[in-house]
Amino acid sequence: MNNPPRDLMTFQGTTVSGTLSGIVTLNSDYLYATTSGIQPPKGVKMKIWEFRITGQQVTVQVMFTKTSGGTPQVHDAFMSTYVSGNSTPALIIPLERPIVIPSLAGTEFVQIAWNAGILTSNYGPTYIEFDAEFESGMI
Amino acid sequence: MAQDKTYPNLKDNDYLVVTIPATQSAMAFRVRTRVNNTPNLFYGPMTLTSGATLPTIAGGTATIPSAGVLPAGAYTPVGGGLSFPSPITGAYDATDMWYTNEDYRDRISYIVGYSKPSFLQMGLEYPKGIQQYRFQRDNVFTGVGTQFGFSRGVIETVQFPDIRQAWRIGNDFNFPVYTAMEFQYNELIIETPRDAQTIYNLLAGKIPAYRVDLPIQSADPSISINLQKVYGYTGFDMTLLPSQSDAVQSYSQILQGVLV
Repeated sequence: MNNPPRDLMTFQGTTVSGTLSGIVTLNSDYLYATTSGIQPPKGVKMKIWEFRITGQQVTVQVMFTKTSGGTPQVHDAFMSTYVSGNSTPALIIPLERPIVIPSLAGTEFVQIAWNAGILTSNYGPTYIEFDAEFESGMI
Repeated sequence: MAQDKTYPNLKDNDYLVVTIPATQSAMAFRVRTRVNNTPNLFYGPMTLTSGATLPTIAGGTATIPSAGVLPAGAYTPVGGGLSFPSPITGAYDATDMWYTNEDYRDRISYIVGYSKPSFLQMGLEYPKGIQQYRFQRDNVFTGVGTQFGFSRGVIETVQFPDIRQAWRIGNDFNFPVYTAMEFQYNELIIETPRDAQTIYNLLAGKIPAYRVDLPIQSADPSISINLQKVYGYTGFDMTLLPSQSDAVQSYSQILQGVLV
């Protein structure tokens, strides 16, 4: 076995039926309780590798604040990977390069948001999964 | 850091050097054989007891909500390091599967512990109950639950007979996690090379050896006492390495009293 071992963790969440936008509550096999977001410790890089989305059409955004409790911003143009699916097939968004979110101060906070945009309504939930790993060190 | 490191499975006739930084000394062994050719042991959930209280990095406390769960921000404190009871009955010590006494002096275990999830802070108490991670002598205590002085997801050690060690973990993420432990272990039948020149060459890096630097920054007296009891010496003095003749002379004297 080699160092550093890094788990590829799958986080899951769903949108709320009939609600046009919001923050996804996240769960994972390793999580004992759900969380509204992820705050990587100082010196840890969060890497998001792939999104899997099925259900109602929405835009999925990786939201980011420098300080926990701050106003979430779309991470940036690339990070805010625009995902529009439809209700029939699952949509898989493999990322050729991961979204990398470094925790420089330990206060960075990452959330997943959904936005149904200009749709008149969002009838059913959208199921969102993404794979993430946490890498120690910035070098 | 993200440098790759491979943890070996030692083979017959490999050399193993185990350094003790606090005493600037080292133990040197030749592997006669590795007893187990199946080195991986998935232990399962860590021995965190439901209802117990742990300190948090932020300065408060957190209650373990379910067995094996490490709360957000919580860590095992010094003196509260984990031991791992043997999953199979019959081990020498039912409460600590790695612990043996001096009757097992011809055997040591080279152990690599991997945490699940792999982002947990990890450290050791060596011996159990002693804070060993320090900065600038004793100015700063580092390690699990602090800002630095820990590894994430993996830590290697050598289990000598008659010395208890304990495993510390910390979760500096903002969510509670289910934990588990996986071990890579080598149960080694060892002997001390009886040639002082060979010892010198091992410690000086002139003969290939796998080297484990134990996290011993404070010379707790129990370590030397137990090493003396088990092996008949407490380590080869590495400060003598600049003078080969002095080193070989010292090592020759030590070898006269070596027990295994």
